Amino acid sequence: MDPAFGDALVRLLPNLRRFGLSLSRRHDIADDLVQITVERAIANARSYDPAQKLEPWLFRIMRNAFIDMTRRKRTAGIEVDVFEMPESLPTDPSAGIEARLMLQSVEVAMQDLPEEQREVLHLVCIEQLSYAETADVLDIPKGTVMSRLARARLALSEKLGMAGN
Amino acid sequence: MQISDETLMALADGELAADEAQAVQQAVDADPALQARLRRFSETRRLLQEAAGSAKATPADDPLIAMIRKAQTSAAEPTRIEPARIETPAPANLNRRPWQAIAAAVALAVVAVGWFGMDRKTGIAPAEIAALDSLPSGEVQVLEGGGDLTVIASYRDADGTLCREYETRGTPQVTVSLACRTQDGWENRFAATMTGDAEGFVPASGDIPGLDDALAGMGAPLSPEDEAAALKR
Repeated sequence: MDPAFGDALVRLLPNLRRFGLSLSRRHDIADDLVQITVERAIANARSYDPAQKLEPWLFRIMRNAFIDMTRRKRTAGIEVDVFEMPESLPTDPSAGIEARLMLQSVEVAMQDLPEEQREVLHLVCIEQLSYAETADVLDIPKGTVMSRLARARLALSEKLGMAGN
Repeated sequence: MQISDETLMALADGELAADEAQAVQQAVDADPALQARLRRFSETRRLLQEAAGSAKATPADDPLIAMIRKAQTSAAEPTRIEPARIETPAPANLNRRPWQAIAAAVALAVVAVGWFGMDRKTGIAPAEIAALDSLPSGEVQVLEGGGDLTVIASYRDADGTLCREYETRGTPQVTVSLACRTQDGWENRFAATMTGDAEGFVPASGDIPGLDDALAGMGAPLSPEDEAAALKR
C-alpha cells in the first residue's frame, strides 16, 4: 500500500465517522461502517486512482456498505437515534448561547429532511464535495444532485425562518 | 432573465463557469428578490458548515489507525495494473461479518439472472403481489405454496416509481427479485435464483450477479415512514 494512501486514510477517519453517523444516525453502526470502509479501502487500495480525490472514493465505499447493511437488516435491535441524545450533538463552548442554539437548530432541522436530501446536504455543505463528486458518490446524475440540494436548502431555510419569499 | 433555483445555488456554491457566474451575478445585483433567495442558499451552507465544525478524531479511531499502519508496513505487494478487473472487497476480519465468510465459502449456483427484455408481467405469484402491496421491509411472510417471502427494501427509481427488493425462499432455492409498481400493477425488473445451503445464508449484494446493476438507478432505501406512506397509496 502506498504510504501516502494510508496517511490520507488516517486523516479522513473523522470525516468517515461523521458521514457514517449522518447515514445511520447511530454511533454503533457508524463505528461498524468506518471499520468496513477502512477494511475495504485497504483491500482495494490498488484500484484507487491517485489522480482522483480520495474523499468521494471512500464515501462511496461507505454508502454502499450502508445500503448493503440496510438491505440485509432483517431484525432491528433497539434503535437509539443520536439526535434524541443531546450530548451527542456537537457543541462549541466558545460560541455564544444564541449562536449555539441556532447551530443546534440547523442540525435538528436537517434531521427532519428526507434521507436523500440529508445525504446531498452532508456531502456538499459539510464535507465540501463538488456537485460532480457528490453525483459520483451517490451514483445519480449531477442534475439530480442539484435539484435535491436546492430543495433541501430551501426547506431548511424555511424551517429556520429565513424564507422571505 | 429567468434564473432557476439550481442556478442561484450553483452561484452560491461557486459551481458556475466564470462567464455564466458573471451574468447571473449581474441579474442578482439588479433584483432584491433574487438576492434574498441567493442568501437562503449561501446561509444554509454557512450554517451547516459551522454547526458541523471540523470532524474530530475519537479514541475509536485508534485500532483503525493501527490497522492502516500495519497495512502500510506489511511487505509491499507487487504493483499490478488491472484496469478492467473489479475486485470483491474482502474484510480483513471475517469474524466480524460472519455472513461474508459464509458467502465466500459457499458456491453460488446462479440459474437465472436478468429478466430485462422478457415479458415483464410474468413471474409474480398472487401471494407475492399481496406481500408487495403491504408487507413492511424486514418482515417475513409465509407463502401458501410453501417457503417464505422477505421484503428487503423499498426504493424509488429515477422516475419516482416505487420499487421493492425481496427474497423468496424455498428449500434449497433462494430468489432475489426487484419489482416496481406501475399503473398496471407490479412488474418484475430483476430476478436471480440461487441454490444456497440449507442454513439459509444471506449473500451480500455484491455476490449476486446483476443485482447491483438492477439497483443502480435506485435512490437510497426508503425509511420505514416513507415506505409506509408509499404503500398506502
